[in-house]
Amino acid sequence: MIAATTMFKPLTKYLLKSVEKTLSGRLCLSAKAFVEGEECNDEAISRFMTESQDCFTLRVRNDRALLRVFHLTLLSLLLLFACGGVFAQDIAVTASVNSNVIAINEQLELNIIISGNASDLPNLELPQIANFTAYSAGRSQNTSIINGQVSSSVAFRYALVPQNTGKFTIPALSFQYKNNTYATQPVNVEVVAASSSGPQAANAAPGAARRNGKDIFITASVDKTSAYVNEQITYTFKFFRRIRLLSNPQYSPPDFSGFWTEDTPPKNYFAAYEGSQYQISEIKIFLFATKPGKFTISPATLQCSVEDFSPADISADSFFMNFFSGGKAQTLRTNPVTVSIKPLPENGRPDDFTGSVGRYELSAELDRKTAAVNDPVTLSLKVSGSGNIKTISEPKLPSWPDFRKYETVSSLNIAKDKGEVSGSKTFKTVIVPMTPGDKNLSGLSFSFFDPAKNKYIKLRLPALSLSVKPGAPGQAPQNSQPAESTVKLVNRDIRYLKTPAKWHEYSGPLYKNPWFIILNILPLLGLAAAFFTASYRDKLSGDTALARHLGASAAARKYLKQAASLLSEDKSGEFYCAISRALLEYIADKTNLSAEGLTGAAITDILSKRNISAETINIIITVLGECDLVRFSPSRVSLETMSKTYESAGRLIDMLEKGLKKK
Amino acid sequence: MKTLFLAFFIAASAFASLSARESPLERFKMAGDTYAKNDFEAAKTLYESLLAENRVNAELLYNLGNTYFRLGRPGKALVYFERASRLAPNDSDIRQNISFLRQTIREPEEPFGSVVINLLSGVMPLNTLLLITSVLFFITSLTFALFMLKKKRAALYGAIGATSLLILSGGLLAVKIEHEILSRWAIVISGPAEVRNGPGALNSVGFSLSEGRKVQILSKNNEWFAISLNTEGFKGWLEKKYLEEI
Repeated sequence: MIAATTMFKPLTKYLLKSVEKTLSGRLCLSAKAFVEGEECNDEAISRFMTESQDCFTLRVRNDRALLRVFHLTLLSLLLLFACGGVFAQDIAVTASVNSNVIAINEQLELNIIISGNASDLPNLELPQIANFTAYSAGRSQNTSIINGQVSSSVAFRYALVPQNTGKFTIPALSFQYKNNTYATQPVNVEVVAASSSGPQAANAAPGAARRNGKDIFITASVDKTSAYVNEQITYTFKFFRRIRLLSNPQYSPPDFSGFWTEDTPPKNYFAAYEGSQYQISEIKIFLFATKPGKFTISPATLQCSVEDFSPADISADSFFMNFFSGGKAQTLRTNPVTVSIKPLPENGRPDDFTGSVGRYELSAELDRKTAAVNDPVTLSLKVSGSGNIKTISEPKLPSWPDFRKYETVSSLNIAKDKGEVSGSKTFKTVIVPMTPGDKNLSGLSFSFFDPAKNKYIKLRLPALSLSVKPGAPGQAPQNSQPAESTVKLVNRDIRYLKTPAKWHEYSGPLYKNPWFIILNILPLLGLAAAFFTASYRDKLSGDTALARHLGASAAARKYLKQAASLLSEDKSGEFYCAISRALLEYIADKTNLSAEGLTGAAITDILSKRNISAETINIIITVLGECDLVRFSPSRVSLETMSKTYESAGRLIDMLEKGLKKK
Repeated sequence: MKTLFLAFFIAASAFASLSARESPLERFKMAGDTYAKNDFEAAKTLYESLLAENRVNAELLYNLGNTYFRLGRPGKALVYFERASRLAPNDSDIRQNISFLRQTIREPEEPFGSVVINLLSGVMPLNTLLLITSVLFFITSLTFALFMLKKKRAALYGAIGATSLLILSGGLLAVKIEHEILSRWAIVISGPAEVRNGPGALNSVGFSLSEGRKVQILSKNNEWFAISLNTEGFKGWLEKKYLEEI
């Protein structure tokens, strides 16, 4: 069992690492205990299993349970870090408030900081927080690249305006990043009743002055009705009141479709308006149009309930009614606001213009003045100023042949407190020098449209200098991001002339060459010859009579030749034997009979049927008889007789050849 | 004055006889040197004098194509590159220059079918393919003859193998013959060429072609060629002077 768990451990550790960010603290704790070997027994394993199952089920079941799970995860992870930091954390997130106790007429500042070793930290979407209205107050980001390792932190600032008094909890805020979910810890806040001074002063004099104008109204205005695409337009919503509200007003913002928006926290102040002192709540929203055209911003509405002082209701009953009913509900509306958006002029648009509008400055710096070949250097390009900072796109870096460029990471800082959106966007690029020497990084520029001056402005930076020392040979940059192509196409042209060493002349297509055609006919002829030979052979092998008939003459000649040599050696016995065989075999072959069965009578019979003259038959019989005589009686025969016999045998075969032609 | 003329005539004839006596390779190199001095007109004359004597090879056609390109005649250049490509379809320089020219004149991408046919047709030059096919034919005949006469199993296997190779090369040959001999191609050598809806200047203009465009010739009629653009599927008639056959 122990051996099994030891084997199981690395696997579990891996598993744990991948689930630790998403699963419950309970699981992590028990799993950790298991991995650490504190409880290496069946019970621990089974608990680990069931708990992990529980967690997964929990995750699927509902989001609230999930949030709780995250809360626990966070706690447990903190615990783990305290214990000695077994696991590396990629992303950390914290939430903090400026004060845990605030008055209802104050604003709570919520800061959420996400930090981690990644450049593309996610944007946080603030959900609806019960009993508070949230406004974004800006964000700021820090990014650093050390040895190719990116680390950054983003701070999101929100202003929370309380709606009710009481003890509240800002719930854990969660976000997704690379398939993992992270969450902040919940924050407890107490909202107390407003201190009696300040805002209440207006209500102190709800006297005659009230009758002079409206007690409560809202306005909406823009600072300009005509603007360029992506130029900032400030939309101001004001809520004027000089009577007491019985409940917190409900504000619904208008529809800003067609615009990028940046909202700001509300401001409360007192001001005189048409001779009366009003308490004013002001909300500014910065708008940036995304396309040209005429846009109408729909009315904003505000719902609130006020004390009802209408004359008809002034009675004892109504006073109590008012007291108990909470006053008169009112819905206020602003006028719709129309703005016309002009397209950016075509004239004088710089090549590198990417749509930024506003007032900007450009600065650049290298993180060091000297570097070795293949040493990464970070180039920071900072665009700062006012305008739609979020949409600033990366200034295109000129191509520096001596440098290899890697991916650019950007960070964003936004402030909205000066009546405009201002801030900076910093682009950090790792560049790697490839050759030694004093290098000048020139050609850095950024273009934008200045709506105030009504023209495009191209900012150019002086060259940055970097002295590059020769590096250790063969040392490759550690960054594994894909490098830019090492080939730079300057001017594509056709390839140059050919300069062959030998002159191979082309002499027309082969199919027009008679030799080629003849050579190709030859195999055809050969094939035809082979085919006829083969079919002839097939015929022979299937027809022995024909084969014998055709081969008879050749066989007879063979025997006669044998006989001739025997004649010259004067071997009478063998000579006659050969002569006899030549004749007999010849006749047998021609008639397709066996040579053994050929007697004198049989020969006469067969040959006469084949129209062979009786004379010839007689000679054959005589010659054969002579042969038999000599063969069976060993008497001497003169050479003369032998040669005579040979000649007549030859003549006989010639005669038979003519007479025994195939029918 | 007369003497001057005479001297010039003698010099000219001497030069002519000199050039006639020099080997084709030397004249070819001479043309290359002229080209290197940016005297493209002279290089063209030299290359074309070789061509006129039927001293042809892929290198000559390629270099003449380059010369025409330098003289600002991409249509003519393409004609020679295409001809060179027929003699040496696997030459990377020729392929490169053809594709470069096609890009510069913005010829549209060919449909998939013709890309495949071009690929099959460009496996090897026609003569190599003919030679391979006839050698395979010889081997096939031999093995079949052996099999018929000797009835050996090995001969049968050899015959089957040789036959399959023969079918392969015969197929390639068929594609090549279809593409290069039976289908006729031409290139617009001066543009813009107005393609009319019938043979004759009285017919209306259907479309116009820029120089360097490759077209298929469907038929010929005195001074007019019926052409088709396979990519776009257009057909029309074009005066002979605008075209040069590959």
